[in-house]
Amino acid sequence: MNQIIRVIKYTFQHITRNVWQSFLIIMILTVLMLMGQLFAIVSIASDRILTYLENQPQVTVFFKDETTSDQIEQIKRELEKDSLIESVSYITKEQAYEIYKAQHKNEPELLEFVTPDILPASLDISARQVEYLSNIAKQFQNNEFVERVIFQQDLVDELTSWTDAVRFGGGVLLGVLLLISIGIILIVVTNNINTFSREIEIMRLVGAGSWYIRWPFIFDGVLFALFSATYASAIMVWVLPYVQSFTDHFIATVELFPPHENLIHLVWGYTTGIGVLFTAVVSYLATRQHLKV
Amino acid sequence: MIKFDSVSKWYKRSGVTAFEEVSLQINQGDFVFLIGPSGAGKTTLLKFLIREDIPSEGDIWFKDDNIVRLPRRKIPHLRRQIGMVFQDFKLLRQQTVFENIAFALEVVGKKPSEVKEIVPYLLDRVGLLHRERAFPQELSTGEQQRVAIARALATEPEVLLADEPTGNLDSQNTKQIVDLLKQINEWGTTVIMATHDEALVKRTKGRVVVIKDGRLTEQR
Repeated sequence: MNQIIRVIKYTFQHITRNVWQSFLIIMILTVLMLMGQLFAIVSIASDRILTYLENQPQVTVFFKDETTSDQIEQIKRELEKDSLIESVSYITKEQAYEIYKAQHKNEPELLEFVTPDILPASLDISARQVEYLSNIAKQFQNNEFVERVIFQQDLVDELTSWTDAVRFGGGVLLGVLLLISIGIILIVVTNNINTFSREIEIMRLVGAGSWYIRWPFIFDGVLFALFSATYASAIMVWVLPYVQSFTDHFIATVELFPPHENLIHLVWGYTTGIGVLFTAVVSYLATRQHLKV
Repeated sequence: MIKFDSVSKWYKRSGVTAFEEVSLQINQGDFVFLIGPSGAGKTTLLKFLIREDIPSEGDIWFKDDNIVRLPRRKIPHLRRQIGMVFQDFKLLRQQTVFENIAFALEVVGKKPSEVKEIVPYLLDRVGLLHRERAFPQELSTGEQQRVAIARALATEPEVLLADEPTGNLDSQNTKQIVDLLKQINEWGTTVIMATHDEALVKRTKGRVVVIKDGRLTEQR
């Protein structure tokens, strides 16, 4: 207990003796953590969109209004015999209306003029493999009952290449952020060691162990990470609902982010955990490099 | 208690030999003056004893431990058994006399309640109980050195090393410090004091070791 109090006391001294430096470090680490969080969130969201699209029926066939249920059922039965096809679902006009209502339940203005009559019936067709999609789609090109065929492979391909680019760019960005963070923590710890060189010298001479001297300097980094993670998470959790309501306009069917109450714990938990571990390791390495104990 | 066994020290880059085949034995309870001109190697010899420096060759024994080959993790323990005071005192200027000594006690893991008891006891021993709330810069140089001695005694060392402790003091303060070190020696602590003040050594009782040109030239 005495040791913990001592470490906290010395850490407090380090921070207060270099108060502007401490403030600046927390600001910089907060910005770096925010950027890291942003990259993580964009990666997770794009992964979720991809997974959603890959799990959707990859070919959707919309029928003309005059097509009867029997005719659609007949087409469905024939498709189900095809070995390229995994499954076929028939979405009636009423079911399409229910889906539409569910997707836009918070937007009454969009529901006002829509009735089951104006929505087309459709077949959602899942292929056994992605490469079968174009063949399945071709079957309906000249079909007299078909209004439109939506074929999602191009979208998935495009999104995959976009996601790869985001990951690559994000990875490079993350690498740069890590290097900057390492540099900052090394400067802070070295500066604190220089500021407290006399205390350190006396500690060594009266027989302090190396960890006795090291702990407060490592705890400096941990405390900076804790403050920065809290600030960065607070900003992110405040901003995300706005982003979420914006993205809902485009992709309401995909749950891009976890529920808000979990989000706070997740963002703060991961940022703090990774931040604290990272700064502790770098601070330890800095003390090994610069602290002659 | 302390044994230097054919200790040599040389610096490869400059080719300078600081010590050559120095052998010396110091017994428990001795009061030893280490004298020699500036740059003779008195400080280096003391630094060997707290493993601040290591010789190029030879062994240095403290009780059953060879200091030269002591593992790093055991150095703090060694330094708690061998206290040291310096010519420049090495006090923390922004801390009071009480806090300067408490600092050393905290390092060795004393509880706050123990610190409150031990600091006044140590200050009483060096005659500074009435100055415990003063800052170092408010003290005379002699008083500052006494605080440094009290701090060195905080770990209850068996040996006290004093590196030119009177170098910055006038004759009156010098006498007070030497008297205090003699008193500490009478309480049972082995004292090794490095000085270049031969006049001081002549008027004080104690064993004398002379270092000149990297060799022990005289022991009396």
